Amino acid sequence: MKFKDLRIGTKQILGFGSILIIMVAVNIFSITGLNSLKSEIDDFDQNWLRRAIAFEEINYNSSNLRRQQLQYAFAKNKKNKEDQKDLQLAYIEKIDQNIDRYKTLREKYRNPHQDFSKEDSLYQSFDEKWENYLSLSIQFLQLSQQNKDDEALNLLNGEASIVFEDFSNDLSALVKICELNVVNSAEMAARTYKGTHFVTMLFLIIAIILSIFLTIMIVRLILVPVYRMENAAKKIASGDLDTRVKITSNDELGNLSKSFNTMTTALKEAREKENVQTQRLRMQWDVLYETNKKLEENSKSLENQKIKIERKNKQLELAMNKLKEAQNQLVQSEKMASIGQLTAGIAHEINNPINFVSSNISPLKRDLDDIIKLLELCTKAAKNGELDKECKNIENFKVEIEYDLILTEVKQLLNGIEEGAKRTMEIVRGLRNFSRLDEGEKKLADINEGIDSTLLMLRNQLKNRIEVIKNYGSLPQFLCYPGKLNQVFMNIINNASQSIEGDGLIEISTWFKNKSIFISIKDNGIGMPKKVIDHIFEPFYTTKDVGKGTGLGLSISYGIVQEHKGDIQVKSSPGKGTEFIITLPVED
Amino acid sequence: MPHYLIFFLILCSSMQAQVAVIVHKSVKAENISKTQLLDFYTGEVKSWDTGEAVHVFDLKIKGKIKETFYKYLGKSASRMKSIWMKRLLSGEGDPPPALEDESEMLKRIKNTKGAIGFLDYKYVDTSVKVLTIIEFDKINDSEQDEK
Repeated sequence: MKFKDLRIGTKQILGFGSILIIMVAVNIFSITGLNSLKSEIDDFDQNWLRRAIAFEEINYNSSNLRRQQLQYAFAKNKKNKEDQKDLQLAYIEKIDQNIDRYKTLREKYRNPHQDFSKEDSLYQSFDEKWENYLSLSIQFLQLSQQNKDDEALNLLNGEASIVFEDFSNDLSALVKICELNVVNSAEMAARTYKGTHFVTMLFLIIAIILSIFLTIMIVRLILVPVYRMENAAKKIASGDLDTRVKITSNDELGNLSKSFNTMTTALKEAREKENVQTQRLRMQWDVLYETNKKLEENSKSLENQKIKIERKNKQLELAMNKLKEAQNQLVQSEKMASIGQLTAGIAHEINNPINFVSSNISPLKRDLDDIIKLLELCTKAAKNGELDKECKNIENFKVEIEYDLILTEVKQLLNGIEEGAKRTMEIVRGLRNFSRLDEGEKKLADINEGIDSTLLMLRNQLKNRIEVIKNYGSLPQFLCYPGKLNQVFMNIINNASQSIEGDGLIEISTWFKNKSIFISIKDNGIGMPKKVIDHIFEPFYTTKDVGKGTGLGLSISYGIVQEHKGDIQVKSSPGKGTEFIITLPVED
Repeated sequence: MPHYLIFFLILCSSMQAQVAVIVHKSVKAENISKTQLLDFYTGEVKSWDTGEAVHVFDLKIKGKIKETFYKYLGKSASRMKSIWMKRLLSGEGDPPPALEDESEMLKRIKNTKGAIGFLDYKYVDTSVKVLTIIEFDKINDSEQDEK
């Protein structure tokens, strides 16, 4: 991967990172250089210089000590000697201090890389000689205290003098060694300083050059492409869509330039397409304009047509209303027709019980006349107080009129009349129930009762000829138009009775299941072929002779059942009979 | 106690040179600390705890025994000398007599009441009392004197 293909962030990190590393390296190097410089300076300043001073001090004080010892040896009076002793004490004290100082320095600056053998052996030699000299000094003091002044002086000038010279030489050599080390350390410090200075400057220059290089790189890598893109954007903004940005790198800016170029191309294409479409649109607009004109004309004629249609609609509505009226009238007339049909039966039905009454009336009158006569006879006798007398006459009259027979007959006649009246009342009630037809509101009614009242109406038609079997289940009260439903039952039962030639059977069953009332009316009449079944609910379809049926009965029945959201099913086959099943859902 | 000590001393003698600090038999002390020893040898203290005067003896010959003993005390030979030089100058006393060899040391300790001295352990006999033994290579560990 080439450097110019790297991402801008990576480039920057690489650039600034290298500068940072160089700067850190410079700093670390300078710090180490400074540290070693410091230790070298310390070495000659704190160590060697001080050692040299310590040895110089020892040398100086030992010279003083020796001088004092000599003066002590030659001192005459005791007072003088005591002073000399004090001075000697002070010098020895100072020598001890400097020896301690030297030992501390030696412990502290024990550089394992440096060779101390020469210094150590010299110091060892000095130490032994110094001890020796001290031993001699002690002897000298003891001798002088014992007033052996000559021996003491000999000691001091003889052996002690040689030892003194010896350790003085050692001390001078030690001082020289220390001085040499001072010079060495100083030179080393100077070298370190020069080296550090050179390397630091070198790195600094490298860092500066790198920074300049990096700045140029950033300008070239970032600012130049950005500037190019800015120019291109300006050109595009002023409408020059053929402008393209030169791509020089593969980083974000390169990608951006690519995207910019792609965008420009897309823009150009879009502009061209737009132009084409604009032309097309203009043409379309022209077409549309013409079409619109035509449409406007059409719309006017449509308006006219609309007015016409509305007029027609109104006419149709009127016709529809008329039709509805006609239908109502038809329904009414069908009702009337069925009532008319019934009328004969009802007249016969009513005639019969009325006959009971009217035929019983004249024998009852006659019997009552006889009884009234008997009562008058009794009343007269009672009035005249001749009841006992007339008693026999009355008894005779009783025999004459067959009194006992009359009483029985009257009872029988009254029973007959009662029966006739009752039957008439029943018929009238049935008729009234049936004529609930006209009631406009829904009422809670018992379906079984409705079937019974319908059967009552049809009794004349059915009796003696058709046996009616009732299998009534227990049904809930049903909210309905009872009269209308009765009409349905009547239509179906009537049809059933008419389908039976001679003797027959009609089975009526009701039951309640799945929130619905079921009514089955089944006959064993002639039945119907499928061809007929398909049409039975159509209005004005009839198989009966002209004048016998309107052809509206079942169609109206179907309408009524639908009004109750119910359904009628028919099962029939020729020769076996027909079953109508009415389903009425009970609303909660 | 003596058996244990002898066993211990034999064991040690087989390994390194040992310096025995010995005293006259009349000395009551059973042991001696380093500071006490230093105080005696620098003339700081001049009597035992019982009040008996201390007679300190030094060896004249330079060698391992003397070196070890001085190292144990933490003073160089020259420093010991300078200390006694100062004492002498200020009139605080004389330096300990430096004896020629170990047999003389043994003899002087045996015959001087309150005497204290040091010598190579192998010269020790029952005529003196051993207070402590300094092992040559354990000087730097010090505090060994509590034995």
